[in-house]
Amino acid sequence: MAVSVDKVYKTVLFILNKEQRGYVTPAEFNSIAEQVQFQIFESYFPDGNQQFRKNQTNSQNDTEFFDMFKDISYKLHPFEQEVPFTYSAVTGGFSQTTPATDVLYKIGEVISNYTDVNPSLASITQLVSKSDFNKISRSKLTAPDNKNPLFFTTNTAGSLLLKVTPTPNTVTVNALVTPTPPNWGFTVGGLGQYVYNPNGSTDFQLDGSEQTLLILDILKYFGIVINDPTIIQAASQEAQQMEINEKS
Amino acid sequence: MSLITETNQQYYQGAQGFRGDNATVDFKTTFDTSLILGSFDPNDINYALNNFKLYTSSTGLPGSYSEYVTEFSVVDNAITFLAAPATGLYIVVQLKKLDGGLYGSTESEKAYGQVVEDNYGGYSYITLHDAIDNFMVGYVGEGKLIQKAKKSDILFFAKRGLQEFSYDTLKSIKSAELTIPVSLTLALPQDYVNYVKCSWVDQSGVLHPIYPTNNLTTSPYYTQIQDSKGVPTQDNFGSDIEGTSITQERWHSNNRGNLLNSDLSGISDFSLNWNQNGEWINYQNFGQLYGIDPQYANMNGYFNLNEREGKMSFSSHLVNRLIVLEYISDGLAYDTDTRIPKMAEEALYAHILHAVISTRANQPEYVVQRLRRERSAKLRNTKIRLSNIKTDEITQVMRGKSKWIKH
Repeated sequence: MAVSVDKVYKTVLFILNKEQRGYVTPAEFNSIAEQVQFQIFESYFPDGNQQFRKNQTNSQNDTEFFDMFKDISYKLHPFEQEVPFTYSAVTGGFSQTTPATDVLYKIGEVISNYTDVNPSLASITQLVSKSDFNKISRSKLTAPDNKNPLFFTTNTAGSLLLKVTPTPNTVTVNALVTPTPPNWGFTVGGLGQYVYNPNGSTDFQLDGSEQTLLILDILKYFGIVINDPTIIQAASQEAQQMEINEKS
Repeated sequence: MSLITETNQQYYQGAQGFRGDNATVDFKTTFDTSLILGSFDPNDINYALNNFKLYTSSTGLPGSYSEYVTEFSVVDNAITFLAAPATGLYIVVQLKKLDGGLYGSTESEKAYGQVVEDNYGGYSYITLHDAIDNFMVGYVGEGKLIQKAKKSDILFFAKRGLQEFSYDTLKSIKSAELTIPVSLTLALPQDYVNYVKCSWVDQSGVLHPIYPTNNLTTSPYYTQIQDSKGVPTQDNFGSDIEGTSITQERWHSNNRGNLLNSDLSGISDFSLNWNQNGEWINYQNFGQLYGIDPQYANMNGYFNLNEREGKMSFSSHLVNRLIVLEYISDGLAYDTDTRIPKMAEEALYAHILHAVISTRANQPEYVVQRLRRERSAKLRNTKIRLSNIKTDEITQVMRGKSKWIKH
């Protein structure tokens, strides 16, 4: 469940006003909210890797709600999509279908669909470097076929290009897309005040469990904006305590 | 999900039936065998590539079916008609079978072939592709011994394992029935790796083993033409000129009497003649009755490998005889979906696991050793299983010996 941008904005304002530390305009909030959302989103990857390494010591946690690796993976679900890719004979590869509705962040598993053969095949495609591709395809034991296809990445006009061998009819690309910037939309009220407009707003895409961290991180930035170190310190301490609890 | 997905009818008869409903145009078959459609038209040259025939009948009664030769296509094992078959129409997909199947009314309509028989006994095997997928599921991933592995690495080790297993563990002995021509040489089979046994077949179909020539003769690898000083001569491109082998020519031109006795030993003290189903067998053994040299005590003839030409060469008296050459291949010659006996499945997983871990940096040696022992034990189990050792059969063999075995 996404985090309500209105709720976060009002909580931030509430804390700041309560402490008499100034007022934050919607434009300032939107800008910092985008930065914080992206920052939290990017923190999932090193965190997930850290949790995965813990599993190597055979200290897995298989409980239903307290498996941290699973929880971090789950938090990525709003950004996980099957992104359409189209083949171009000119480039000899697959690139994101245009106009692209989402900006690619990372590609995950690629499935190559071969519909010209009977029965049709949907094969897991292995990502390799160009160097490995050259080696693997030269060995008769490992040369790619439509049951074991390979691909490497390159670019065309600055955008991602997947070179799949043997060339499939279509590919299904599971990918992460970059978060949509949150926006606290408003109309101006009769007294000149900002009135929340849900139709013109975009909620945070982050999972609902991230609401507290979002507020604390936004407060940290506003401590800088309004030049109040006590806010930065209080928010930082709170965020750090959360992180310690989660990762230990 | 059960591993058997075919119905009894699909397995034994190679047939699957559908009913038309005047709406459906796609009829999905669920055979283990994929449909191959060259052409729907019997007049098209590609029609012979089909591995099935399609029949329809309005009543479904025996003898009422006729072959469907109007345009249709096959996509993802589904038969797709141009127009929806009428309601109640019986439709049967019949894979080709040695007896032609049950549905063709005339000889030309019957589905003759060996597709159904190729699938018989298929349950005792697993494909290499499935074995690799199973390995990736069971042995690779979070919290497992192999956290991450490239599929191409697994593919490599699986295929190498299969090759090694093929040489001495699996029952992958192939056999070819051939007739020895006047040239007394036969090209090695396309997927030949090594021979197991070579025998000539008599009128009763009984095999008589033919042995390698050992030290009697050889097929020289280089047969350069020499000048009067004994120096090899070269052609315009600077390469040695090769001639035919005189050694082999002499070997082939020997008659068996010369070969097996008088010329070589000078003594003819052991000969044997017998008549077998009208065919006179007359042999004189090279070697002696007393103090016999067992490697030459062979009345069935000899073969040797001509590595230079990739051929097998036979002794002269085997000309025009029928032989059976049993040989081993490496299991990878024709298809990536090579079949592996299920009895060797666990040994293959153990082989891949050991190969992956032992070639990886920073692996504890005790883990590598444990996996090596596991691999060895599982491979031994596989050999025993595939040896088909049955107590009753051993007892039967031993009854002819001096020892009685109770069971």
